Amino acid sequence: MIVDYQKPVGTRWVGLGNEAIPESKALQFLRDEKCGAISVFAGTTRKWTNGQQTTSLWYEAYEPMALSEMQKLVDLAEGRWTLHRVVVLHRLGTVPLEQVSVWIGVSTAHRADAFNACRWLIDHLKTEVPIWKKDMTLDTRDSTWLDR
Amino acid sequence: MTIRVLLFSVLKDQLGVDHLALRIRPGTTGEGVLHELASQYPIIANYQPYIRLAVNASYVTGEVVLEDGDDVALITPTSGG
Repeated sequence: MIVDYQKPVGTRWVGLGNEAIPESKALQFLRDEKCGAISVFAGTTRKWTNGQQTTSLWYEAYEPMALSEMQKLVDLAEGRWTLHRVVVLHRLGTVPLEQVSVWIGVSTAHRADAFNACRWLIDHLKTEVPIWKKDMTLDTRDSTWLDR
Repeated sequence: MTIRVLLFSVLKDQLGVDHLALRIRPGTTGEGVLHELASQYPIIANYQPYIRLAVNASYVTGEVVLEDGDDVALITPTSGG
């Protein structure tokens, strides 16, 4: 299993890892004097869903394809908006309550592009990138793979 | 010809393996393999309408003709994020 979130290449950082996402480094990577805006989306593990108590989430990926699909999404986003820097990082394995499973950030000249590109990237990551989460519940018999 | 079928998530859990080796005839398509697997494994049949195929780590349409040694992934609806 890939463990290290890879390394930034040029102005993009796309990676998978097993440990906590290096959020401070990611935010620092997005800083750019050409940019007036940084937008970040962080997905976190929620305790309650429809009255059911989650103890953690478990993520698995088809890793080589997940990485290549994440790169393709960044390619597409760069075709739609002028993005100076982009980060797309996803954690695999156990993600405890409150911790971050996915971290997406973009830096742009103006805020509208930052908001729009960040929203587009997380929406498409969810539908296109082969990563799956299992909701680990208090009663383990109810732990289920989620399909959305 | 032999291909490797990669399983993840609910299919991997339910079948208890992360891949299957499958012998196929030349000219077999992705859709043909999925149909064959669905006839053998009820859990794959349950998910068949929702499964997307990937060959060698890229999404493909069902008409793709498979080649010896291909990795064919059954991608159930994803839930990253």
